Amino acid sequence: MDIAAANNLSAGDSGRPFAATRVADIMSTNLVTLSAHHTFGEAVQLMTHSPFRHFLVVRADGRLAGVFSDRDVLRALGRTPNWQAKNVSGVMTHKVFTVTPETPLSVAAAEMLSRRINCLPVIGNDGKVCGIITSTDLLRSYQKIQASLENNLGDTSV
Amino acid sequence: MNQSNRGGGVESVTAAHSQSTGRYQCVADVMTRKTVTLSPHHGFTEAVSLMADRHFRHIVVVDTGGQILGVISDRDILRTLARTTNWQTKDVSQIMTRDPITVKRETPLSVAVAKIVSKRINCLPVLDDEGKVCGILTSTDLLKAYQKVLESLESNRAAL
Repeated sequence: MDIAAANNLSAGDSGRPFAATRVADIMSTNLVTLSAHHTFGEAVQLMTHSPFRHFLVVRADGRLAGVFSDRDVLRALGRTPNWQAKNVSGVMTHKVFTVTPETPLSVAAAEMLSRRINCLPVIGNDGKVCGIITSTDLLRSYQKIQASLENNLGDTSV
Repeated sequence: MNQSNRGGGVESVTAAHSQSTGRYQCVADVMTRKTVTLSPHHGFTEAVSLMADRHFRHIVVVDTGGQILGVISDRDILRTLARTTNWQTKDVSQIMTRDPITVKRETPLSVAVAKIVSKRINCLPVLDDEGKVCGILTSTDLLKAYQKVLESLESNRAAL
């Protein structure tokens, strides 16, 4: 398995701790998903009772239909007088950039930065949604490696 | 509106003096030095138009002495637009987050990242020794730093 091999290499002689390098290493697989036909009110309800800010909208066949974020909700509430009548598909982002479990984390980070977004759906080989990676996942991972970099001030090999 | 720029001439300046990404150690190494500030009495619409025109999501609110009073994020603005019908009458002091969590230039980056992740926020104003705002550290600055670390990690591995 490539990922395991890479992690063994990363430990190396310096005994540095596990360093995540691919999307699969840090993505969330425990997904809260929505369907496009959910009402806007149902989606807002779910969002206010959940710690998450991004929800994947998934079709019956497991394929991605879109992403529904807290910013989409706030924007819709501000702009749309008849938001009660909307459903999820009327508010979500339809054209979504995705990654795979094998995508290098540097690429995932670069895409988020250049597109000014905070989450990327992860799509498996079968074309179905298998996870989500958010900027918070990336920052948690950064926190770990940054702490170990600070503890090895003399070691500038990374 | 007041734009202070102590770091350089480019919008969204991040300190690029550390050639080796392994030397990102403290907040000053990656923070954005150019901060956009407003006074508490500025109108809500001024905050909205500032944010609509530019590529940033956070405004620092300071008093006349440069001491920090609060922070406004795009989410604060969107929330106000969504919840209130009389938003035209609001001023900055009514929608800002008061007494935000701050860091110093020399705060270790790992500590700053931990604050952002654990408090579920996306920006930390950076204060100098006199308590004045000298920059802002956002989750975008940190993602950029992490991206560089990842790139050098990946190229090191490829070389092995």
